[in-house]
Formats: sequence, structure tokens, C-alpha cells
Amino acid sequence: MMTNLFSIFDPSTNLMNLPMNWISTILGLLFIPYSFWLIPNRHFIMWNFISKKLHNEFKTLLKNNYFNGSTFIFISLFFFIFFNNFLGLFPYIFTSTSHLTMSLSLSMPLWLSFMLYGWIKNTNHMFIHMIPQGTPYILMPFMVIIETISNIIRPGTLAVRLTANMIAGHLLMTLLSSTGTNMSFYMIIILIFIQIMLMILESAVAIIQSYVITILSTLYYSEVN
Amino acid sequence: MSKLMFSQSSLVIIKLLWSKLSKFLTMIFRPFIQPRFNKQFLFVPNFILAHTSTCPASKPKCGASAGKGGTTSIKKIDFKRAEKSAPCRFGFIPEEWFQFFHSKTGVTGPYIFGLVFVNYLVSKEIYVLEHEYYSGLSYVVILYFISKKMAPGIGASLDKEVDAEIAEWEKGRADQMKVFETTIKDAKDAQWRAEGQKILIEAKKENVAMQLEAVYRERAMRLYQMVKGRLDYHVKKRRTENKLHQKWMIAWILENVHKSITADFQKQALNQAIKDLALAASRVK
Repeated sequence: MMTNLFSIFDPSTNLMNLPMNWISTILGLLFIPYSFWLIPNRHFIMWNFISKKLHNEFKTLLKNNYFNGSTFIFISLFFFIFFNNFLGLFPYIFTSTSHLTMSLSLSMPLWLSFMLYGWIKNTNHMFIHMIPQGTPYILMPFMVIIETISNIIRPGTLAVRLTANMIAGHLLMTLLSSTGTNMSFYMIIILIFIQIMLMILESAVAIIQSYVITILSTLYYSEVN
Repeated sequence: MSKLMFSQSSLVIIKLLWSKLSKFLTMIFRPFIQPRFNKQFLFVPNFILAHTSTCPASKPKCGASAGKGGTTSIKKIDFKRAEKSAPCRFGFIPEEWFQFFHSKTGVTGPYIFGLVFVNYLVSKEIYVLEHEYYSGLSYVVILYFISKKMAPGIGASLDKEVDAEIAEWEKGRADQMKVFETTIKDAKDAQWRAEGQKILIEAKKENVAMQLEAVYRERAMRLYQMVKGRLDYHVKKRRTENKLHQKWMIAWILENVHKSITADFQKQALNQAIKDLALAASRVK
């Protein structure tokens, strides 16, 4: 029962005052295929296909900073966020990435570790990267300030981008669906049609947002070294 | 005392009920527990589509029947890789659930049960048709169309990859078989050639035997000729002696005897001969 519009983000599945809705976060683990048999099945092949494509993408981005296995963290991040986003579209499944706690818990440690490593190990390199190539001398102080600020807000942008997209999508869906309770039958058909469009958009947004966050993390990682 | 008996009997009842309940729950949730092989529904989690008969949970373990002393540490895998996904109706309800009802309620039983159950949930407002339901409806429509339109194509292309993988393994196996067959053939050829060596050696033995025979015969012939030569020598020697005797002794004797025979002597001899013959004739009579 919806007390207000945002109550979908605050479900009351409590068990001894522990919120059980967060268990939907690990629901995506069930989608990882088994390689029990020598011959792969369709699911395994599809998983491998996507993983290989992502790996090649990230490897291209990392260029000289690539070591064997550097892409694993980003691929697993992608799958984690993708499953959380995508499964949240299904009814009665809680979208854990629509909360800042989740997104920030992902982006902040990543960014912080990159920054700490970069500033402690490659201080000169980080200073050099503050200013893009070809800036006129007069602009340099302002460039430094701007780059510093953009660097500092990176975890925030990563997290908030994901959260905002998820919240916006879910809110729209909830708004549209909640009008269905008091509608005549023929209007419901139109409503379902519109909702189908929205669902397709939301599925695309789910994939794209997970991809974006992963690509940006890769970029930030490649900048540090 | 009575309290103890009561608690014991209640314990028995509780155990019985629990066994029944656990059996029922296992039957329902078996698809969720066992390994899954998905070939049909792409976006549904794998644990829904399990095939119970390919999975070993219902089969007895190896060690149980072997006895106390026969337990091994190696587990036999007595199930096969499922080629197809588990049979199910409406895409997500396993076939086994319908079979469970069949003996008691027939074919329409599960459907009636489903309908009535949904009716109960909706009419008693246990399941409220609110915003989640309508978004769920639209999602079901999307999934239905994807599974009907796009899934066969995607499934076919993925199947091709699986078949390519299988073909690669089979090719490796077939190549290895060919190598083995070639090795066997070469070994057999070598054996055949070795037997030919035997025949060669036999032929050589015969050759040598023939040569020995020839030499033997040659020597025998030589021996014969030598012996014959010696005997010929003796013969010739005797003949020569005879000739010499004839020429020098006998001819002279005869000549002299012929010379010595006078006419008187001849007459006398003839008269004597006639007398002898008359005598012989008279005896014969």
C-alpha cells in the first residue's frame, strides 16, 4: 500500500526490525552460470560473450595500465549493478541501486583508492593531469581549481547519476501504474501500452547506467597511473 | 508419568507431521535446489527450470548399497548432461507439479487449483491489485513477446556456438582416433613385413640347401668318374695284356702247331675220330 509516492523505495519487509528487502542485492548472484560440464550451455556462452566484449572494451581503455586481470573488478561491477538495476524493474523486487547508500558504497571506495594511490605514488603525474594540454597560461589557475573540484565530486556524480536514474525511472513507473487502480478497462489497455514503452526505456537505462559507471571507473583508474 | 507419555506421543505426532511436510516442501522446492539447464526461457532465473530425473538427489548413494567396508572416496557421476531444458507449462511451472496432482484430480486439477488459489488471493485482498501489478502486467507482455519473437533466434545462434564447441571436441577425438588407426595400420604392416622376412629366410635356406646339394652331386660325380677311371685302367691293362698275349704267344703257338701237323698225323687223327664215333653210336643204341 502506497502511503506516499516514495514508499516503493522504503519497503516494509522487516524481520525482527532488520530490513530484509536488501537481500534483493544478492539476487543477481543466482544468474551467474555454472561451468559444471565440459560442454558449455547457452547461458554460459552468453555470459562469456558479454564478459569478453566488456573485457576488450576495458582493455582498450586501460592501454598501458593493463595487467592480467585488471578488468575483472570492472566486469564484476558491471554485472552487479546491471542485475540490481534490471531485477528492480520486476514487480515486488527492491531496487537496491536506487539508494545512495548502495551507489555511494560502490563509488566512494573505488574513487578513494584510486586517488590515494595516485596522489601518494604518482604525485607528479597527478599534478600534471590537472591541466589539459594546450591551455593558455592565464587560464591555468582556474583550470586547476576546476579540475580539482571535478575530481572531488567524481564519487558523488558516479553515485548520484545511478541513483537518480533509477529513482526517476521507478517513480515514473509507479506513478503510471498507480493510476491503473481506478481506470476503466479500455484505458488500462492504453496504460499497459505506454507502460511497455516505459519498461523498454527503463531496461535500456538499466544497462546503460551500469555500463556508464563501469566505463567511468575504468577511465578514472587509467588516469591515475 | 502421564505428562511424559503425552509429551512422547505428541513428539511422535510432530515427527510424523514434519516428515510429511518436509516431503511436500521438498517436492515443491526441488526445482529451486538442483542444478539447472536453461534452453528455453532466457530471462528467467535458471533455478526454475530443473529436470529432476537427471539429478541424483532421488537416487541412492554409491556407498549405501556397497556395505560398511566398501565405501569409496570417489563419487560416481551417474547423471548425464541435459540436452533440453526441463519440461514446463506456461514457461515457468514445472511439469512435475502437474503429475503430483494427476492421480487424485486428473488433468484439470492443477489448473482449477491455480485459478481458485488466485481467486482466493485477489478476492480476499491478500494480493492487492495495485501499482506493482500493472507494471508486472506490462512486463509479462514484454517478456512474452521477447520469448516468442527474439528468443528462438538468439537460442539458435547460441546453439550453433554450443555445437561448434562440441564439434571441436569431437574433432579432436576423431583426429586422435585417426592417429591411433594409422598407428595400428602401420604396426600391422610392420608385422606383415616381418612375416615376409621369414619367407625370405626360408627361400635363402632352400637356396643354400640347393647349393649344398649341387656341390654334393658334383663331388659324387667326380668320385664316380675317378673310380671308373681306375677300373677302366685295370680293364684296359688286362685287355692290353690279352692282346699282347694273343699277339706274341698264342698266335705263335698256333702257327707252330699248324706247321707241325703232317698229313699222316691228320689221317690218323681222322681214323681215330671215326672209330670213336662208331663206338659212341653203338653205346647210344
